[in-house]
Amino acid sequence: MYISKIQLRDWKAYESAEFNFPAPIPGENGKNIVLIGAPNGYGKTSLYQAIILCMFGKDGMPLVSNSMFSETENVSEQPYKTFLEKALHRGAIARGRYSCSVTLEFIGDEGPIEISRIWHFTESGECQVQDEDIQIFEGEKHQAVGPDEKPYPERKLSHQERVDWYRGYIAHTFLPRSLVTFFVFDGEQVRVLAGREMKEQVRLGIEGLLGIPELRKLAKNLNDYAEQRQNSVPNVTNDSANATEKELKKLESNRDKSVGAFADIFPKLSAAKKERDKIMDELLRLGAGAKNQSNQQYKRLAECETAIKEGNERLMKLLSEDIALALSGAKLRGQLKARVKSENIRANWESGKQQGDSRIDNFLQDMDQKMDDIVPPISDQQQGEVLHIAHNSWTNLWFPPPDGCAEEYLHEYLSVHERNLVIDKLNEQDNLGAVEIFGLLNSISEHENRLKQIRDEVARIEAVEPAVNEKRKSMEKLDSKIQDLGRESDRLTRERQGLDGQVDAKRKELARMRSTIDEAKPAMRRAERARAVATMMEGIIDDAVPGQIDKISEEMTRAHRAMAHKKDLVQCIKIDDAGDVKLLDREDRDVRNNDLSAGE
Amino acid sequence: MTNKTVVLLNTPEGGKLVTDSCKENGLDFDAFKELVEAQITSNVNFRRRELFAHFDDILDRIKIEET
Repeated sequence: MYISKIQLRDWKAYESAEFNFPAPIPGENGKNIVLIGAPNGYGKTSLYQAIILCMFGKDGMPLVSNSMFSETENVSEQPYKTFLEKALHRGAIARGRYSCSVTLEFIGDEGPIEISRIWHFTESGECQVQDEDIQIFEGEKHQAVGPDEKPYPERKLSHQERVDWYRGYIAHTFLPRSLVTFFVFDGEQVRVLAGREMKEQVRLGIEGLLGIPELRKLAKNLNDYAEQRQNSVPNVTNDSANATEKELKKLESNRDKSVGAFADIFPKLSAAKKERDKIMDELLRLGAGAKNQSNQQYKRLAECETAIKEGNERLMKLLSEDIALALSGAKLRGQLKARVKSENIRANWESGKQQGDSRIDNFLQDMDQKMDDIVPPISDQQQGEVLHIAHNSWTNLWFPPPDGCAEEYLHEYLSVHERNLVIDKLNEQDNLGAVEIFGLLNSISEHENRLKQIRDEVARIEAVEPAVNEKRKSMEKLDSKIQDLGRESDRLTRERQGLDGQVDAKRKELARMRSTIDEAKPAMRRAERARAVATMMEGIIDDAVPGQIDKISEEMTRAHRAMAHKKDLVQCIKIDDAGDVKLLDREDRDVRNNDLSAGE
Repeated sequence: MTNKTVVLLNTPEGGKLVTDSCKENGLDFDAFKELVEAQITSNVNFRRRELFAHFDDILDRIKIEET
């Protein structure tokens, strides 16, 4: 590819100008070197600045204004704007032209490429940087090229996006800006370049020639990509999963220990319970329950003794008080009861008769008075007769004496009430007989037998009491042991249940983590691969320049010979790995240490 | 475009350096070139998101010795 034409309009001193350049001479590999010469003030630098700014826009500012910027510095908009306002031809605004432009035409393997950059200004000459226009045409058909708008149909590309696209296009089609210094420069810069410590620039230049910056960008993008992909998945690593698995194993181990301890306790508990049951059986065989049973026997013993005592008292009473009457026989007791009863009848008859006799006079007196009121009146005699009859009738009421009435009293000392008590007592004696006495005697005998049995039982219980006590103590110890083992067993059961829950939860957590890791694996795998490639690429970058140094040194020697007018001055150019350049003469001395002219 | 931009790949020494590195790391040379191509293309047409999507595609396909 070579530059074939430069067109300027209202650029600095050039109101309108066109410069054409010849095609490379065949046989020179299609390559040429264009030298533009003219006296001072004829616009060589303006032409150089036009080429740089047309191709690189604002990015080219460090190249056109050495005193203001370093070559690697990012340029703010204001100096660019100021520069352009000065670059606009002085007569343009006055003549109604509010823009200036530079057009470059190159001839490449696939035809011509034309780049035009147009800067617009206000009436007052202020540059409208944001309206800067770039046009690129390719091929014989003058096909316009530019950023592809299709990926973003919903919006227009921003100014910056368009600038980025053109920057990329220029870099790949022509030169990245970082390499321009080595290919396009003006005479003023040659001296500056020659005098500079170029080590770093040379190295960068070589790297640029080899396309190392692209590899650097790729390595950086791969690392950025790896980080982004890694950050896009949940932060669950194999390490954290392994840590969780370790926790799970610890929990399972604790649970196993708990289960083991429970397994140890269970037979002990069973054995203790079995032993207790055995002792219980022995206690029962020994008549146990023992103390309670003894107490019950003592109670029964007392009841028997009481019953025997009461039986004997009852017997004694019968013998002392009633036995004589009982032995008198029923006949005699019947005659006595009849006699006493008849005397009571007499007593009652006499008592009624006496009560009547005591009131007969009042009766007769009252009757006598009331007979005076009889009409027609009766005589006194008649009255006397009536009263006499009444008196006799009254007296006849009590005769004859009632049936069963005694003719006389044999037991005059007894009152009616006492005679009734005698009758009751005699009636009791009628009921008192051999049955009652034999029953009483039998009861006493039975209680005495029972008493003997109970006493024998108590004696037996008292005899086995020490053995029972010993068994009881053993049983108490066993009870205590069973309680302790039971509590420990309960504790271990609760502990195991708790650990079961924890183990279950931890297993689920681990499964979730493993699942997350599995899901993240593709992204993580990509990230790992990207890092591996980036690392590999960094190795390639480190080794690339040293591997190409000799060849580049040869090419630089050849280029130097082609350009230098004192061709014998430099025998060869050598570059070390750091990019340090030496122009060696026949004695291997670096001629850059000599006082060289601009041409040299 | 890759060879023109990354001239290193077009030189005998550079080509050998890259090929050997790829071989040493178990990476297919064509996949390497594909990654470089994606990077170069992204300078013009793609943005980072598209570039990363391109990386996804390439890195899913490549075989590289996991270390």
